[in-house]
Amino acid sequence: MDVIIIEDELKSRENLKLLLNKFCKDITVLDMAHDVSSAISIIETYNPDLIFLDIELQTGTGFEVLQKIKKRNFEVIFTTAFEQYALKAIKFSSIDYLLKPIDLEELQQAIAKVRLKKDKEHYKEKLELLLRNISEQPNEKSKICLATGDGLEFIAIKDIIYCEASGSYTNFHLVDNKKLMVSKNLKEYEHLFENHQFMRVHNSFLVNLEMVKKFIKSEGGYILMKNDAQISISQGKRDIFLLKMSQLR
Amino acid sequence: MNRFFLLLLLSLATITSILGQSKYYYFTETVIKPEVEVVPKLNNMSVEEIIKMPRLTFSIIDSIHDIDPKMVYWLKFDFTEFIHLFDQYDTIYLVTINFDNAYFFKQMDNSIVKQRMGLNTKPSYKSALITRSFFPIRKIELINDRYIIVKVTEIFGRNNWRQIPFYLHHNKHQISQENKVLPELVTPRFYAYLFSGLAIGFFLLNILIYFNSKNKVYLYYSLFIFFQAFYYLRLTTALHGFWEYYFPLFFRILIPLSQILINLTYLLFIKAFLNMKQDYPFLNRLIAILIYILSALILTEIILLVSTPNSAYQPFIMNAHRLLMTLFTIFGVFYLYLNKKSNFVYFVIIATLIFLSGALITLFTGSIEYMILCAGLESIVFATGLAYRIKAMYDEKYNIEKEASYLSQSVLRAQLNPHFIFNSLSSIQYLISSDDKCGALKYLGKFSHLVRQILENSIELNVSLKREIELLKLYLELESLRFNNSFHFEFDIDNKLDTDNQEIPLFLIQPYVENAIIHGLLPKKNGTKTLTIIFIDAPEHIQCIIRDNGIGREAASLIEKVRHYLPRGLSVSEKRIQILNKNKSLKTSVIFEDSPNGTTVNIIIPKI
Repeated sequence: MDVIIIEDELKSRENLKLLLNKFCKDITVLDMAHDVSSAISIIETYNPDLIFLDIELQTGTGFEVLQKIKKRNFEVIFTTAFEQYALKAIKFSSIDYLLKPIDLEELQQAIAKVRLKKDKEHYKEKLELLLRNISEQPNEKSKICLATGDGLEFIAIKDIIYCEASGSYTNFHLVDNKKLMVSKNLKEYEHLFENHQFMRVHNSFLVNLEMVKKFIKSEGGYILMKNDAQISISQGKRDIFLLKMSQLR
Repeated sequence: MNRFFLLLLLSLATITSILGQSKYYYFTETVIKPEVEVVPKLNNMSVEEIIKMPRLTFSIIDSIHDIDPKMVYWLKFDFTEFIHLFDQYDTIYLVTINFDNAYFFKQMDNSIVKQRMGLNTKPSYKSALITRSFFPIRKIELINDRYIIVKVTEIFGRNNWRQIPFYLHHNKHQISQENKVLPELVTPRFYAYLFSGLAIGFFLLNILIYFNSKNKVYLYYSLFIFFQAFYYLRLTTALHGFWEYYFPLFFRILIPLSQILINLTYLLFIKAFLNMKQDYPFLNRLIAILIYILSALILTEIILLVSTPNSAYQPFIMNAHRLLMTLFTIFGVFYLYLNKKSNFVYFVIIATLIFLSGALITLFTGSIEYMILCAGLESIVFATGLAYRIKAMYDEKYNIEKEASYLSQSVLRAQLNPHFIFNSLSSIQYLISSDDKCGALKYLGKFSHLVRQILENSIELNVSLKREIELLKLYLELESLRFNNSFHFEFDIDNKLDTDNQEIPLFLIQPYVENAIIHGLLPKKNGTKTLTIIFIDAPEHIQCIIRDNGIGREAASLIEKVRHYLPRGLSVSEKRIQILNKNKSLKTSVIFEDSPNGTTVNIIIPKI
């Protein structure tokens, strides 16, 4: 597999190259770049299968590199030392990323995933979603890419009624009675949706506040969603929930 | 159980009050029952017609119950039964309740005269007395030798005639409901009592706040209001009498003195309230002079009042002090309005103007109630000002605490930039993967040294200058490794600086150094990249100069624009400096000097 490394610090660049050469089979590092313009030119020259892309570059960001390349028929693994805002957008699009200093096992797993990838078509969509999420504030059309057992699903966030924890998995309940199971825990999504109108009302439930039909006081209190699902609410969350609902309307 | 008990109590209370409402009056005195004619208010009847009627519609008042406000009630009292009383007494009194509006008819020199009575009657100032509930009757005043007529047009607060007593008494001093009020004495006294009640309450509240907070502004306010209360108390007969009787000398001195004391405490109060020492130094000096003058006047007054109580100079002193204060307040109000520094001045301006206008109206009309009323309003405005001040102080404290807790939470992430931490680790990882064991051990040691120091110290703690320089060196060595020795750094430390004992806030300088490297030196394409850190000893502070020969801040800001995030280290440093500077006379300050050949940052840190 042909790989390009785009990384602004020399040490990190050399480090990643060494790790790939020593510990990963069938990987050829074609070239490396350290800023936006040289990155674009080597990608266009070599047409690689996979790019390791640092988010923070000296003269810009890794996202700019992606924006400026029209033919995106390659996979991307982002690398970053610490960039919470960008990481959130990356998670929304379900693209792989590695945190520096790089964990060897994670690196090998990420490469193994790339090798297994079948749906190249969807991959372009993922990148587009990422670039949109980076440049836009959360809005009506915001989407998330969920990796389920069957493949990728692109879901508008406003179509999610609620998320339900199920062990280390999360069940998404959507408007058209669809249900998706994703292999990440609820906490992950609570964090991802914190800029949207979502609230963790219970250990096992994260609800879309826009999808609440009403709050029923009896039997300790529960929430009735627009699809008539009944969601229990923790005692301690009641006041905050009612406050948020009143602010919403 | 409790509920049941409460319910019982409540119902008992209700029953008693209902019974009380409908209870009859029983008098040991001679009860007299009039005949009654009830006439609608629109149909006028004359008293002559009533006299001529042999029988009125209701032979006894008990046979009518309800009082109808649309009706006029003619009460005809027949004294035939009681005529023998006049053998014994010259005058008999007819006693009843306080009607709101009624007329009393009696005979005088062969004609019938009428007299108005009741609460709604405007008293004539000549007669001065509102005679309210009893009527003196002599035998010759009886109409046709037997009748007295009362026409009642308004009764307020009662709905049943049976509750209204009528009886005869011979000694007016024994009549329990006797009530005589001089109207021109009522009004100012009413205000004086009202003001004193208010003032004593405010006084107690503020003196208690003072004892707890030790803030002088409350003491001055409470004294200000206390002397006012004292001054106006002389208008209240009871207390005036008390003072005059028991402490005559004290009283005679304190009444005139209290006027000067009111002004003195007023000045002290506004001085403290507006924080004049800092915000209005000119007015502060003026007030200080006035305070000396007033103190001198107080002393002179005391001497005069004790030695020659009726001295001709005494009113002169009082007038002079009034003129002085009036001129000052007019000037002060204008001055404050033109130089206002906070919203607090409005309280002072409004309160002062209210009082000034009250005092002037009183001066021209001679009615003291205007002054009392305005003094009351003034005190309320000042009290509101104090409340506003408490709120402002509370808000400020709350904000400082919020900011401090925010800082203490975010300091580690801000002071050691996470980018720096993880990229340093990444560089060390490279040393390991490229088998440079020596380098890896060396930098891992430096890294753990630095992180440990930051983790062990919290934000409030200072470190010795020596330690801070060591940490900066560690940091720079790690950055130099990370960026492949692409820049040089040098320290220049003043020999006179006692680096062991001088302390500065931990890592206050580091964000400026990091800024110089990342945004000044690294983007530079050609030439040597040098960072110089200089510490200079000054009498009252330590001066730190961070100089780089990088691209300058202007060029760096052009690059920054395309980025999605901002360096947070600097903004947190600025906030930290703001908090360090709060309530300190020697301030920490940062000055940037830009040039195309690099940036110089001057940090002035006060010595401890």
